[in-house]
Amino acid sequence: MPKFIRDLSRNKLAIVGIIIVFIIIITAIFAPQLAPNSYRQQNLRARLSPPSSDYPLGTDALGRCVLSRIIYGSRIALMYGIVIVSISAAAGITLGLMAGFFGGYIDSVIMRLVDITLSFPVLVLALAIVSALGPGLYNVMVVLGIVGWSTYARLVRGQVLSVRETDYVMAARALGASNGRMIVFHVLPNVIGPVIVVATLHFPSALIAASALSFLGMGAQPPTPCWGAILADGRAYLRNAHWIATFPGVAIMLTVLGFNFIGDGLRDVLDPRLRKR
Amino acid sequence: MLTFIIRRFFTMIPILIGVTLITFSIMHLSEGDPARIMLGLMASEEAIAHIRQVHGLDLPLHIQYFRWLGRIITGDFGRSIQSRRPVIEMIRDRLPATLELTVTAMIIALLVGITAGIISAVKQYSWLDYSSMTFALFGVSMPPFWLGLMMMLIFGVRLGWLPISGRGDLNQLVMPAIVLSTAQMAIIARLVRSSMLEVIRQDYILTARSKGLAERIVIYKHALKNAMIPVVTMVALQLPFLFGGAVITETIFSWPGMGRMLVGSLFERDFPVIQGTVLIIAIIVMFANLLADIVYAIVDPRIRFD
Repeated sequence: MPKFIRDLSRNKLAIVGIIIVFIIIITAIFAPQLAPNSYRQQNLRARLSPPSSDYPLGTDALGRCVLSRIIYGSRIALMYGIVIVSISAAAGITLGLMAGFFGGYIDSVIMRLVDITLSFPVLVLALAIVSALGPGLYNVMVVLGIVGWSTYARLVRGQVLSVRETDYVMAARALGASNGRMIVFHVLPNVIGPVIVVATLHFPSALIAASALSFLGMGAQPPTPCWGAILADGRAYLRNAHWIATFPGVAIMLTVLGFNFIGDGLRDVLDPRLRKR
Repeated sequence: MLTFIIRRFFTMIPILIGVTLITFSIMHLSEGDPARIMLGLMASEEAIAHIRQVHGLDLPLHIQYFRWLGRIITGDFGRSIQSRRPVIEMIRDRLPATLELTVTAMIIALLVGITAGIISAVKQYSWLDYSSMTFALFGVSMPPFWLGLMMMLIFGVRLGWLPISGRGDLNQLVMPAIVLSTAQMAIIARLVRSSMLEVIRQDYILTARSKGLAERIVIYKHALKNAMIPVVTMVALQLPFLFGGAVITETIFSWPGMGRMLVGSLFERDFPVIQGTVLIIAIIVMFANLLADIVYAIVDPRIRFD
């Protein structure tokens, strides 16, 4: 077994995180089999029903099964995380590699762009842009993906600066390797470790931001079962049907916890200085 | 030190230009004619043409940007499409509430976070360490909008201890401030713990102990001072998140701040208000970062000579 996997398997919190995330992935894949009811079918006679055998987590104001909506919502939650992290990481890694490898003018421009992006609260900027583009699932994912690139760029640039002067990169240069070849085959593989940790920890924050936008009505539109939107629906019924708001929040928290556990575990494994703390 | 501050101040200028460019572009990202957005779908063609001319919307984009920038510099953020009030006046009315909430939240986060972090590091692997770090893990994982609703449900609706909305009394500030501070508190506690653990393993701490200094002096006078350096950076980095969180918290608790005003203007596509709010928040964050850098340079003199 590779040392990395062996170290990670010894980290109890990381294992708990992996189990939680595994359960959420399975739930998302097998949502039609696991959901006790349809996520969109309304039963107005059973509206705002408390948890029962028919509706294990109760129903919402339109008589829809809250559990089924949460189960289907796991698909949206994972999609939010995967798409946002992929867009941010792709943009951030590319620009970070360019800034670190080429330096000079390119570096200055990219780092000023990082400073500009970091001056805006992600949520505030994303809300403003999504309101201009129009609310919706895809706009939320694209906008949050684009505004999240700066952390990756800064991290990768820093890593590249230390890798750029190493002997093996010098040797590749001396052998006549092109810039593209050096970046892809010699620099990138050596900076990717910390990026994986950041991406794992970015996933939960992306999920919370996307859910926050949905909570404010800017994300997935009805009847799409998005956790943030279900929670927002429950806000008006907090006094007499608290389950509508309670359970989607628990789902978000567990998913976020799972990814945070994995991220912390990965960081401990990849940074041996932290291991004994 | 003065040279450092002046140099740092000048680096803000290109960033400020970039921030205004992005804020200006927001309205132009939307599909359709900004003049029609301002007047609504029922407006006549004459009225739209008039608005286009008055606001210079028929001019090339770069000219529009410079005209807008010129107005912004003189404090003219335009008028709200909905209320017709000057945006700067609306911001002036709402800014104190947002600052009251964010500053209170940051103070709570620092007090609780630093205390929990120190206890965790000094009593490493004790039940105190495990419980505060478990709390911290949950703190960073709880969505603030859910935490807000759950606190409302428990302390407002069920127990009736605290009011669930509004601003004025001190007890109306309790729930929003705690909700906004929770994630920051958790982040600070985790950072102080790891930073303290790093510092208390250093030779100079061993020297301080071997000199026979009391543990209290070793921890508070020698270790904490150095362990706080990364905390200053972290607090600055967390400021944008605090303002982002304020948008959510203010909306949930009907707190009459800029965040709630922003959310209200989003659905009405009230772009002058959206642009004004986003720009002011970005400028506050930039100046707060400048302040943090100055504090950082005071705490760690090596920075000044970098």
